[in-house]
Amino acid sequence: MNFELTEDQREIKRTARDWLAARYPIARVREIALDGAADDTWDEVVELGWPEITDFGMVELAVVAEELGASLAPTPLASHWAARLLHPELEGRGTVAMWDEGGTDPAASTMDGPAGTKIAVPAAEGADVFIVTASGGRHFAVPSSAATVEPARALDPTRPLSTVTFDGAGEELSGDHFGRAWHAIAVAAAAESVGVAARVTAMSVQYAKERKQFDRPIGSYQAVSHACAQMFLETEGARNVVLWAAWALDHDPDAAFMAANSAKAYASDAAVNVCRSALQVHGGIGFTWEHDLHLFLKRAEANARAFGDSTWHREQVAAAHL
Amino acid sequence: MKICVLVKSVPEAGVTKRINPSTGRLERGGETRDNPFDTHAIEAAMQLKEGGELQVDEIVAVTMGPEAAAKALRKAVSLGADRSIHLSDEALAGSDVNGTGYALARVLATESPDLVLLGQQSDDGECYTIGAVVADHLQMPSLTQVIKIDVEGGALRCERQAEYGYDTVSIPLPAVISVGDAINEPRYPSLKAIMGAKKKPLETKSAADAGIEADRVGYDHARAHCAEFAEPPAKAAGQIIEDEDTSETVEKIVAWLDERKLLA
Repeated sequence: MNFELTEDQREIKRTARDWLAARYPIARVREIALDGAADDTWDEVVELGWPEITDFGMVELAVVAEELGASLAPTPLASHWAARLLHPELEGRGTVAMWDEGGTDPAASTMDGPAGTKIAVPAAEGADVFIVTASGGRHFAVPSSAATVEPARALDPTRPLSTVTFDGAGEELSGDHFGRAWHAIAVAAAAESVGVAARVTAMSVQYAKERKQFDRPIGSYQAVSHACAQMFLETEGARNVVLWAAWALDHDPDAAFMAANSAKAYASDAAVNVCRSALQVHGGIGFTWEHDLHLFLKRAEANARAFGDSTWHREQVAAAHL
Repeated sequence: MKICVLVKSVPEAGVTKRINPSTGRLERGGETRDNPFDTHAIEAAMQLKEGGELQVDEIVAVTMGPEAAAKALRKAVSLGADRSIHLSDEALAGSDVNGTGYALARVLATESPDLVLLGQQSDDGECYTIGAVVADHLQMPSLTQVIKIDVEGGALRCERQAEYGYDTVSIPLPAVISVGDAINEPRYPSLKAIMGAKKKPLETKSAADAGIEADRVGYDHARAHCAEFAEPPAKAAGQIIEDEDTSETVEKIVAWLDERKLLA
């Protein structure tokens, strides 16, 4: 299998990296996430065509998603993608409202239609359309005029969550939403986790080269260099399984189920493991509020739980094969 | 009118520049990207076209280099150029600035452009001079390091960065202008533009197609050859001032700066 990105995909990745670096340097991410500054880049995102990247291909989506994770961009793009994967004809900016009292299993919603309350709704403020999960795997497209949004506490400050109450208006969507669409959403989240892991690995290696103890860079000590090597291994492993899954979703539907669940499970764990190891490599400075590591750790932890955690995805594979 | 924009494919920014001691030429292997300075030239061309003060009918991107150099052309058309020309021939390999400028001028001559734009420097060779060489061959006026272009009648009123401040120069067309990175903020190519870049016309020309005389290009006919190379001298160790008493530390820093006439 050829894991090389095509030239177009590399150019998309480079454009994403350049644009995100220009619009979301980490100081700007902090302003938006921690100080409440407004994020005003959505119009530019639309001009770039990224909200419709779901129409072009999953590998294209995955390479942009990885850059989103690496930059910690507090943009609503990821939740819009999730909504668009469930509802390809969606107009305006969308988001997903999946979870309620039924728990984190995406198929276990207790809502009998588009009426009720959903928790942990990402990027709800400013969304035009909510894709609401109801019991029996049904989904409804609900306009924002039928939703009441209340901000909620979120682990990841770069990705605000809300509690949203729906008054019952909405149009039921047809299609098998827990098939390809669900797998694609999981792969997009996994790709973001790869970006987090890659950025944190790079930060850690750089720090290990610069930081000296006993007159030597700490990276020269095996305890640190082995930790960095393990971070690299998990990052690359996650990237490869994510690209396989993204490719399979478009080209090998028979493998897509296994690939998508594997990608989400592996990348979720990898990003969290990498961030935790990074905290050890950075020592005391890594635990401070002023250092950026906690922002990456929170994104990794939140992403690991979004759209099915690693245990849930492994259980899906086990249930299908055992 | 027609604007031609010269573009170049260069090594990724993270790649360490290295001269191959056996060939005396800069190594350009590995991952490449479009020269960042050229994106400012494309943006300047697009702004002239979209500004409406000049009737710009066509923007043509031109490059010279091996097959991989076409990547810079695809980026140029994704940013708005209408078509592109790739001058590619083994006989051109190793050309110096004189040979490259001559060869590019031959291609440009067949296009009869009203304006040639290019970045003031490439990210790898950084010679800054290709625009002037091209202009000389085309017998056109040339401006370098331009950071502002306004249309004034049928001419362009430009500000160019000088050693102290700026020069304001009015230049008639046709002309060759190299632009600095302060001139604009280049746009980013949209997804559709990237995916559609391959559909725009790309013409590949050999040296013979462009009427290039073989004894004026290539490594063997270069006027400049690098002979010896040496690593740049190591930087002297800096001075570390320990902050034991802040007032005293500030005094030491101010004295250090003052000694070097760095304070106004």
